[in-house]
Amino acid sequence: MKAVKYGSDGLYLDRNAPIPEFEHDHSVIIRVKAVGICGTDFDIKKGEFPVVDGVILGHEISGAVHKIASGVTDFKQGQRVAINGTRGCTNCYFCNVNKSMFCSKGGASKYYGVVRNGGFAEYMVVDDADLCAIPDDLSFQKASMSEPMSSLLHILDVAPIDDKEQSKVLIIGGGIAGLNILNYLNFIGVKNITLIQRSAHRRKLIADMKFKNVTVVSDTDLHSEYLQNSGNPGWGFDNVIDCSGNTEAIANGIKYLRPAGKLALYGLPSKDVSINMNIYDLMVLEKCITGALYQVNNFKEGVDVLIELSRAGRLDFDNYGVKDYTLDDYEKAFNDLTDRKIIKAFILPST
Amino acid sequence: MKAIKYNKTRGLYIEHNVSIPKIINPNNVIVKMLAAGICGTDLSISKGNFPVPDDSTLGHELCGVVHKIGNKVKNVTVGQRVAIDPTKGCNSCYFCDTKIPNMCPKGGIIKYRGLGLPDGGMAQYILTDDVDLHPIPDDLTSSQAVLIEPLSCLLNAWKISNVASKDHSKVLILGGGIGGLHLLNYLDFIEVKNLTICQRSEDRRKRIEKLGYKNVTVVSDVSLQEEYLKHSEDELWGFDNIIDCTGNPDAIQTAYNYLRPGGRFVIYGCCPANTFIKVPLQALTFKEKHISGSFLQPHTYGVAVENIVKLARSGRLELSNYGVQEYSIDDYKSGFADLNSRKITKGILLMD
Repeated sequence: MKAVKYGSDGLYLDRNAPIPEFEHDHSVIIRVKAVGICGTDFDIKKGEFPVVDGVILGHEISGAVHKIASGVTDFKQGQRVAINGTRGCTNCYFCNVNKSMFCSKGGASKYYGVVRNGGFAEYMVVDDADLCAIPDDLSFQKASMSEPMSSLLHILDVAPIDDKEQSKVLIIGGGIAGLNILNYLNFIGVKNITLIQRSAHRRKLIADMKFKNVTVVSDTDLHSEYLQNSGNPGWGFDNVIDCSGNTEAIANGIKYLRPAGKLALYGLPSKDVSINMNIYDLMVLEKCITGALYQVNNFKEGVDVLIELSRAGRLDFDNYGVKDYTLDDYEKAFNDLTDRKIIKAFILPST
Repeated sequence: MKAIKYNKTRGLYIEHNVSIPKIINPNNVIVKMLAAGICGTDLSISKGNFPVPDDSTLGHELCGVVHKIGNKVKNVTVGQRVAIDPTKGCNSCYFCDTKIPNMCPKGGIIKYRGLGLPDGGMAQYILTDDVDLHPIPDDLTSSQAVLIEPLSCLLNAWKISNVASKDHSKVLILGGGIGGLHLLNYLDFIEVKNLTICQRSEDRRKRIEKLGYKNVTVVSDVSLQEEYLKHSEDELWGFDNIIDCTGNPDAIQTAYNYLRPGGRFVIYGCCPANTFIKVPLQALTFKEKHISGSFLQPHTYGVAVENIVKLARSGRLELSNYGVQEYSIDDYKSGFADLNSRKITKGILLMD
C-alpha cells in the first residue's frame, strides 16, 4: 500500500508498504478516509519533534472499519470511526491522576503517527479501544479533528477558565489551532476573547468570520497596550493560550498575565530554547505557566464537541482555505500550508 | 504605646509614643496584642529588600485579646483571645469575586496588615474589623496561634499544588526553615504518604530527623542532586509536586529538574526582586510541567485556625522542637538578629 513515512532525509512516499495485519485479538484494520496535517507534522519534518525512524505519519485520523479480529465486539465492518492516538492503560499512576499521556504502556508511548504507524496510509491497524464511532452526518475530514479538539479540551483542564463571563482570555496565534480554540471558546460563551495575529491578511480573515465578543489585534498593538498599562495592576489576561510556539510570544505571554493568570503552552516551542522567568514576579502575582500535551481520557468528549459544533454550523472554515489532497499529493499539501495558501489540509488516502 | 516600625533611613526601630488606636466605625475592634511572629519577609523588610510604606508597623502573624468593641460587633467579646486574619480585599472586583482577595489590586499586599498600609501587630494595640478576628480556645497558647497565619499561606500553596493523590504522589519540600518545617508537619499530619524534605545544613536536617516523622525522607541538596544524576535515564524518577520554601533562586533552578512528567512546582518562598530562573521550554510542554507562584492567602485563615488547634492538640506544635523562640517586644533586635543568623527558625515577640 502507499504510505507517507518519516526518514532522516525527510518525508517520503513508500508505494510498497505492507498492509498491516492484526496484532492481537482486539485489533482492527482501518481503511483510512481522512487525516489532517498538523503543525506538529511540520516540526517532525524539520527533525524537531522526535519520531521513530520509518514511521508512517498522521495522527489526526478518521476512517472506516475494514477488518476486525476475533475478540472485537463493539465495532463492525464499514463502521465510521475516529481514532484516539494516545489512549492510556487506565491502570497506572499517571492514568489514575489524569495524566494518561505519560502512561508507560500507552499515552505518548503508543502515539499513532509518531511512535506507531499512523494515518498517512491506505490502511492502519489499531486497538478496538482506540476507536470512537462517529455519526453519518460528520464528514471524515471533520471527524479527523477529534484529535486536535480533544487536546484543546485538555488545555482547559490544565489551565481552566474560571469564569466565562469575566475571565479575560488571550489566544496567541491565528492559525488553525488558534482558530479552533477561538471558535470553541466563543461557542461555549466565553465573553472576553482577544486573539493576536501578526499578519494583517489573517487578521482580516478572522475579523470577517464575525465572531461576537472577540477582539483581533496585532502583536505590536497588544504590546503597546501592555506598555501603556504598566501602572495598572488589573490590566492583562487571566488565561493566555499560546498556539505559536514562538519564544518571544511566550515570554510576552507571561508579561500579559494579570494576577493569578495562567499561560498554557499549546504550540510546540523550539528545541533548546529557554526563557528567563522572573520568579519574584511569578510568586507575588501568583502567575502560572504550564505545558499542555495531547489529551487525557477525553477523546470521546472531543468527538462529542465536534459533533455539536458541526451541527451548529460552526465547523465550516472552507472559505478560509481548507483543501483535500491525495497521498500522492502530500508534498503539495505541506507546501500549500507553508505558503499560507490554505489554513488546513486533509489527506484522503482512499481516493 | 510601643510599636516596631521600619523606614528607609532609620531601618528597623521601636517607637514608644505611638497613639493607641480608637474605634472609628461600629464594626471595629481594638485588640490588645499578646504575640507577633517575625517572618522571613519581616527580615527582608528590615534589610530593605521588601518594600513597605515608610514608618509602617510590622507584624502580620498575630494573636491578641479583645480590648474594646464597636457597637455592632457580635462575633467576639471583650477579654476573648483571638487570632487576626491580615487579608482584606475590596469585595467588588474580579479577584474578590473569584475568591482570591490576595490578588485584589486594591487589597492584596496593599491592605495586608503588617505588610502594607494597615498597621501591623508588633505593637501593644491594633485596630481591626470584627470580620478579621477568629476566637481561639484556651488550650492554644498565643505563641502557637502565631503559627496560624504562616499555615494559612502554606494552605494556599498546597491548594495551588493541587496534589493528585495523598497516597501516591511524590512530594518534595525545598527548605527546612519554618516554612518547610511547618508544611512538612501539616502534610504529615494529613497523611500525605511520600514526603521528602531537602535541607542544606546538617544541623537543620538533624532537627527534622529528631521530630521523628514516619513517612518522611530527609535529604541534603547534594544527595538529591546525586539521586537525580543517577536516575537521568529513568522517566519515572522525580516528584509530582515540589514546593519551594527557600526563596533561593539557585535552589529553585536546580530543583526544577526534579519534576516528573505532569509535575507541579509551586514558588512559595519569597525570592528577592529581579531574580530569574531559566526554563527550558520544550521540556515544559513535553513533560507537561506546571510552575506557579503562591502569595499570601485568600482567607484560608479560618481553615488554618482549625488545623493549628488540631496540630497543637496532637502534640505536634511544641515550638522549641521547630526552632521557635520567644522574645519580649523590647528585645526585638535579638529576635531579628537570631533569625538572620539562623540560630532560630522563627522569633515570636511577646507584648506583656
